[in-house]
Amino acid sequence: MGTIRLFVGTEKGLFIYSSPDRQIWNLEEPLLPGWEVSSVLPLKDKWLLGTTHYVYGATIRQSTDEGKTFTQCEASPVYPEGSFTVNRIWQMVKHPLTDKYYAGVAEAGLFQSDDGENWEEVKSLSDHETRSLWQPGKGGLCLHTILFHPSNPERIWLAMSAVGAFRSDDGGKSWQVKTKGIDPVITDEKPSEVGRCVHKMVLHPKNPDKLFLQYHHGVYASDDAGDNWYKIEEGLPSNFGFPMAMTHDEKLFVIPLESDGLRFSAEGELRVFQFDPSSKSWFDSSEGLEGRGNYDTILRDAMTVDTQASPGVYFGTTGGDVYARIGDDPWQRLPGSLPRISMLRVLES
Amino acid sequence: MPQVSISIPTLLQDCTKGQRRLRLEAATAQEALGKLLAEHPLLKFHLLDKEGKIRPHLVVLLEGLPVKPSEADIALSPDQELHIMQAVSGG
Repeated sequence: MGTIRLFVGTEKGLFIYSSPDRQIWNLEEPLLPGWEVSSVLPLKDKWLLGTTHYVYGATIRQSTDEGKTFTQCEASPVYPEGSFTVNRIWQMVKHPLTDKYYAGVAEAGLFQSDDGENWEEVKSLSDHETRSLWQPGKGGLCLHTILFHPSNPERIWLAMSAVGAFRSDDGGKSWQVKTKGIDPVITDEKPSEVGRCVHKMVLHPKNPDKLFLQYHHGVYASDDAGDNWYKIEEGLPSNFGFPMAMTHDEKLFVIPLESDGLRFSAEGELRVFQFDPSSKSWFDSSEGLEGRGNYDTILRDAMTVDTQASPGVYFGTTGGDVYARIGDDPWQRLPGSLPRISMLRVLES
Repeated sequence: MPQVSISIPTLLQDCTKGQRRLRLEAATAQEALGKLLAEHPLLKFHLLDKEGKIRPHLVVLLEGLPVKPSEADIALSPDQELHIMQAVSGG
């Protein structure tokens, strides 16, 4: 094992934990203090950061010297004048087959880039026939999830709040709404295939027909690449939550919150639940967490995994605490108390 | 033309290659701002809105006093300093 770096994007800068063994963690000085770091794409040769500030706007910054210096990308995602506004960079990913970069933003839209510095709008999504029906949720109108088929470069999935799940089978030239089986959030509106508040969506690491999503009020699975969805909620104390993550050894996790109106730990207890595919139910997987009396929130990008043989799972809270679980060991709380945590990502070297 | 200074917010130093305070020649506050943005175009996004006006919650100060947009042609004297500052409210 080399060094594991855990990138923690917060409301007031980027914090990095590093560890040689995932047991002892060193918390480094914050980078870009004062900027909200809403997304990170940590690559071996460069780091891309989505930075947001209520005065100075949302842009992508890049470092090629492991965070010693940053430069603002000259052509960060921007909509044309008279169109929408980019007010947050929610997610950045690099396609493992095509090497193209993609960024999901709010107001909801997709941008792509050949180099990570010069970004252009994916008009096929902005011009989607359902676009006039897209409405924001409490977290804004955001494109927060981008997933790639592992061997078919033409197949891409997106998820947006409060819009739904989309799939492209032609490399992003066109998009189909994939929300069949998902209950609408507002039921008294005119029926529509959008208006589905997907909070997070993950792809099975070994079967690209299987997808899972944490919804506004529900947890769903699909066995046919998103064509049809069904609920998997048995065993959960609440079906409301934000993050969802899956390890390469097929362990799926969620962190239930009380409800839409009470966005804190379900039943006042910080708990992680793991899915058992044989019984199609969830079980408590919280050993090592602090138990009752916890009223934190865990945001949609604030849970992630690594790719080590015995995979690590990590999450951070709006109260600034970071937790790690290595393999089947109990959860451990990492040192430090950080600002409100927006997102986590791992870089393994 | 007078040599003046212009200081920018700390958060935006990566748009000016690490410089917090810059010297330039400008006859008016407007000219100073224009030259700053011409030399460091990455600042444009952060300082100006889509219509090219100073973003809300930002203020340009000359000798400690705000320069209103209608007074942007105010003449500068040698060694005067302009500050671009983020307005902060609350407590």
